[in-house]
Amino acid sequence: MGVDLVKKPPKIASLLLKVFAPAEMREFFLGDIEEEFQTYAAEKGKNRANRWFWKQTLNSFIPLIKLKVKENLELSPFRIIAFLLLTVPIIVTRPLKSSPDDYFSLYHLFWLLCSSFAIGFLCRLIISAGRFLTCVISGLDFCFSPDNPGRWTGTPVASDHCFDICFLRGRVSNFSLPSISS
Amino acid sequence: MVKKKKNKLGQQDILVLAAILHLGKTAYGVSIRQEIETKTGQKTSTATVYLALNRLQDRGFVKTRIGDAEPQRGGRRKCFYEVTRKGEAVFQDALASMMPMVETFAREWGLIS
Repeated sequence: MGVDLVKKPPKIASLLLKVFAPAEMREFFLGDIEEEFQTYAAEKGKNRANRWFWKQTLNSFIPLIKLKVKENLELSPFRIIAFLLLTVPIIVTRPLKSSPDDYFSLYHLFWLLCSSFAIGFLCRLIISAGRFLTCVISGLDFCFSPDNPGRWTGTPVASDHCFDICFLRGRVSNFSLPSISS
Repeated sequence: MVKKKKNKLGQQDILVLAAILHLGKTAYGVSIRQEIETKTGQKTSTATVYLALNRLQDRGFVKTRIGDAEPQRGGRRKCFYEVTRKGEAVFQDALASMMPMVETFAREWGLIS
């Protein structure tokens, strides 16, 4: 296919999709949207492709928010750790107190669950912000992941995918500037 | 017959499953969306397709296979979808339960012969 890869989708719309797309399917979803954008731009011109991209972005909000909520309600290591950090000290210290009001109740458990979910969510937000800032500071639009076959074939890897993989596997130090020569 | 409530399929789920079965091993987000639009004439966003795919995957009706990264996709990989045996059974059930209600009208109105 003779698709002109110089055409880029609108930046703000792309950023919105990146923020709202759930992590587990972000790479595939953004890839699909961009692929269609490239085809559309090659067939009908950049302006119409940009309009199409914005329309897709706006139509995607409700489904993406549903997916994001679903993703954030699942148990994550952060939430489990936050729950343990909040619960264990209370369970350990409560029996030492004499007042009957201090007994650990279902009411306490409910609030602990809510707080641990909130703390887990905050941790994820902070990590996402960290990834975003690293991307902005380093000025990398593309980077190579040590685990991605793109490194060997010379295929540029989008930063969202690369950051996910590198952060997940703790290989932040392995970031390297791409050599996009062709 | 699969008759659990959690195995019930919505309209979007049925369309997505039908599209995947129709496309075979080349089914991924873009092709599924285009297949639905071509066959039904309904405008569907990619995110809606992904929402249905996520639901189907959680219930074990579809399985995924990761493809290679492509420059046309900004260096991102493709995710191909396949319907599992369980998914096929549930899809068959959904159609079987719908047909007796729909078939009469479809014949009467000349939608099927």
